[in-house]
Amino acid sequence: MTSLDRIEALVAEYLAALDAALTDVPAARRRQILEDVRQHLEAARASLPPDDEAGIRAVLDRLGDPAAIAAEAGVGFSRRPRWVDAAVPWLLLLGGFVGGGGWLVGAALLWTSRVWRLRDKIWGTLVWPGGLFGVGVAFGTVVGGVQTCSGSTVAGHPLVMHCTSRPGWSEPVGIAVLVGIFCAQLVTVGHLERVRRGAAR
Amino acid sequence: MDLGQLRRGAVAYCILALLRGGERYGWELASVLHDAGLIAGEGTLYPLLARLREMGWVDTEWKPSPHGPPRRYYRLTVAGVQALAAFIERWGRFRDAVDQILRGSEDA
Repeated sequence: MTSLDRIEALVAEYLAALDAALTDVPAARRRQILEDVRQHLEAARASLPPDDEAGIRAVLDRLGDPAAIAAEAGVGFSRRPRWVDAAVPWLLLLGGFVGGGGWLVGAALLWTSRVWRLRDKIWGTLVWPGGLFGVGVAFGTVVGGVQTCSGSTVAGHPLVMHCTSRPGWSEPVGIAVLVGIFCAQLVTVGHLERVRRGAAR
Repeated sequence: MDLGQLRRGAVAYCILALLRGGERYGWELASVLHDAGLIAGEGTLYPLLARLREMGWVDTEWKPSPHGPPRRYYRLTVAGVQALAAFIERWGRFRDAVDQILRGSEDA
């Protein structure tokens, strides 16, 4: 390993540690801090001989512990849950049975909450739209299949209809996929609930 | 006693004051504040800058640098200039009052 490789590794390791420490910081702020620190390191490297490993170590030392930067980044930002946040996982899971509106309310509350991060929100919305109700509808389509009818009328003759029924997918595959989605739905809601309880502590 | 809160509040205005002379990039600000002993680690500057930007007191611009990739420069906004002027006045009164009591003056 050359000293250049070691410098690359040191810098990458520091940035990865900072990225991990900033997990709970809102996305825009996190991105800006990471960009600035990356630039800080680039500027510092440009001012040093390219293989000055001790110099880079000193630069990282002056930057300080990633945890200290993260602590500073967390000031002025509260992840304390609102009381309605407790209802969000349940609305996402079962709200679809309340005329579909319950799930939409859950999704709206999810996106306006400070408790969940962006990836939780995307995950919570996409797996699975409509919650268990949505899974049920998809299940009905697969098992019931899709019926298509075509008819023709010829003047003076009775109407003739031909109906064919075909399942959306091949049934065993479709059912396996839906069971998978059902389980993913439960895991997602469990995850959202765990994050909420963590933030409430 | 830890001066954490007091220092954090004051450092934000020191950043604004350093930007009075024109735009600067993060690395310069970090080394000035670190050498002055106002921040423990240079890295803690960046969350402060992010917050000042969220408050609309500074904004940023990408500019090409003589060597290497473009850099993000920070500069004061009008709101930042006003916030700094208000702080300078309040800080003067605050510092005088604290000094007077610390010196043990009875007619404070």
